[in-house]
Amino acid sequence: MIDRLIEPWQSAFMQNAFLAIIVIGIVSGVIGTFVVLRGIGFLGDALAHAIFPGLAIAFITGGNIMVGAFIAAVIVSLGIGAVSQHHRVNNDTAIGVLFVGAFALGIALMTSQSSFQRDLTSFLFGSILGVTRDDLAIISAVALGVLAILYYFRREITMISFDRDFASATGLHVWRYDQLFLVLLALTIVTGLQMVGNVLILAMLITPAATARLLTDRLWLMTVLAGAIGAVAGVIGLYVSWYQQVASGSAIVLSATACFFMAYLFAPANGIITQRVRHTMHHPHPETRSPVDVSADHLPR
Amino acid sequence: MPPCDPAAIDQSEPVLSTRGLSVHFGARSALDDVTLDFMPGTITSLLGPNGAGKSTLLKSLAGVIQPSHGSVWFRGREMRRPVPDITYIPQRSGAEWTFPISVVDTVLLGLARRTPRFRPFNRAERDQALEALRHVGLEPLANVQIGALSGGQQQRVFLARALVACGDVLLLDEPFTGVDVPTQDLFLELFENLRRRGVTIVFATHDLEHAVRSSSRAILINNSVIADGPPAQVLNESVLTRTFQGRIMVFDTNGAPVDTGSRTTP
Repeated sequence: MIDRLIEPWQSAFMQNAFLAIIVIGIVSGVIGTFVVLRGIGFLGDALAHAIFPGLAIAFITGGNIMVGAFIAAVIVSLGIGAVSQHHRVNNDTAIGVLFVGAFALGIALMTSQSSFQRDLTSFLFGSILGVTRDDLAIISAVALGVLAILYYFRREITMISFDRDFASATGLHVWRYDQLFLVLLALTIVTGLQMVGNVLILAMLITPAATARLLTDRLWLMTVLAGAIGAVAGVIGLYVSWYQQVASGSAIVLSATACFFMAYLFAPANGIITQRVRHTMHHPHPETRSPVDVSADHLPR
Repeated sequence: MPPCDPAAIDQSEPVLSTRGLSVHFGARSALDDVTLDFMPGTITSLLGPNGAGKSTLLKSLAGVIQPSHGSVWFRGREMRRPVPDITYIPQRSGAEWTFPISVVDTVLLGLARRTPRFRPFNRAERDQALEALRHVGLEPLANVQIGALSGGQQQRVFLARALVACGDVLLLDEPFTGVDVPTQDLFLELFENLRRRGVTIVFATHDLEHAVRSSSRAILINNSVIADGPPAQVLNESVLTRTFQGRIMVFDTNGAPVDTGSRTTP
């Protein structure tokens, strides 16, 4: 058993992959907490797809693909903001129009270069083989930067996520913090691209945070748990990918999904099965029930 | 009451003013040429039918929306955006009720812009938040998640958050709508305490009784200012008919202009 756990760590590229997915799991779990709480998962999905033309152009011109992807994400997020200003186009519609358009442009660019056919799949679904020491250094630096900025602006980001009206009435520049958040989100997506692929990166943002939300009612704990669940799901997924020969992205996302359903069913406070078990234990058969029921069930949480 | 600094308030100058304030939404005029002054330590009620511009006026005073023409002034400076010293409590908060935040942490957000960035909230600040919660009768629920509260209790949390924020001006849009009578009484008592401390309060209401009971000045608006003065003087039949455009019945009780707040409890 131990041997099987150690085996993947013996190759250098798997060491890189493990370290990278731990970093990506943490940062996407933490920023994903606010994506989940603000209910902007669709925007996250849009950004993940919108980076495609940036990737393609960087590929064709020989530039840095992470920089290309990041620039595309920023352009599309600003574009969504601009288009949704039109009073007949709501935010969701603007996202839908721009992200599919950008995605299609990326695919068109990629498929026009016949030599990139194989790379297309690796960008869509992730490839653990690709992570070099240099990539790991860049991923870690970007992740650290994102976490530091989130920590620095934690109160502002909490305020705009919880109560936008109040935030703007206290004089906070809500729009500026929205843009800052989108830039951080774009950076996080770009770092996860190589490992998880852009189709599945959304799951790294949403699933660990959604799992953490099932486990706690405290924001700081939710943030910490989401980061931890992201990292653990990433590591488990990489093992599965190594031994079962499946794409790393899908293995990682499926591990996170499994974590979510475990919490959904068995969370201590409000898991579906936990509640049923507690209900059965506190409400036994009528004949055996004690005359005075003092279970804490009836007290407000 | 949490400690604020009443000495800083100059009693002789208006704290908040509008000059020829007009607000248009597209082709529709919501407010037209409104000029008002609000003195420190006063309570003013805004009355008018739906769509009269009460909320628009409050939002303009809060700096949340910008005038189409004219200006809003706070402490002698033209206001172009919201300031932390003016606390605005909207009618229906856009808060995310499922957000994982406790009642006391929600109140602490009222201090977020006054405390150093890297320091977590300290004991004194937590105590301040708890004291504000005690004033609105919610101290026992301090650690409950905000979404578990009823609508009236959530309104009280926002009032507690306004208390710790120690603003000079408190603007409330329909604070009495959808809250029970004990909560309404609690709000009225708190307004009076805040007023004595020098805080300026402006609230919008549909309820003439609240206007008469709690405010020293009533402003009736319907697109523009119809009447402005002590409630007993301005709340007469002719003004009310002009404001609400014939959709009101005034019951004259023993010669008084309107019911002056004697509650008809059985």
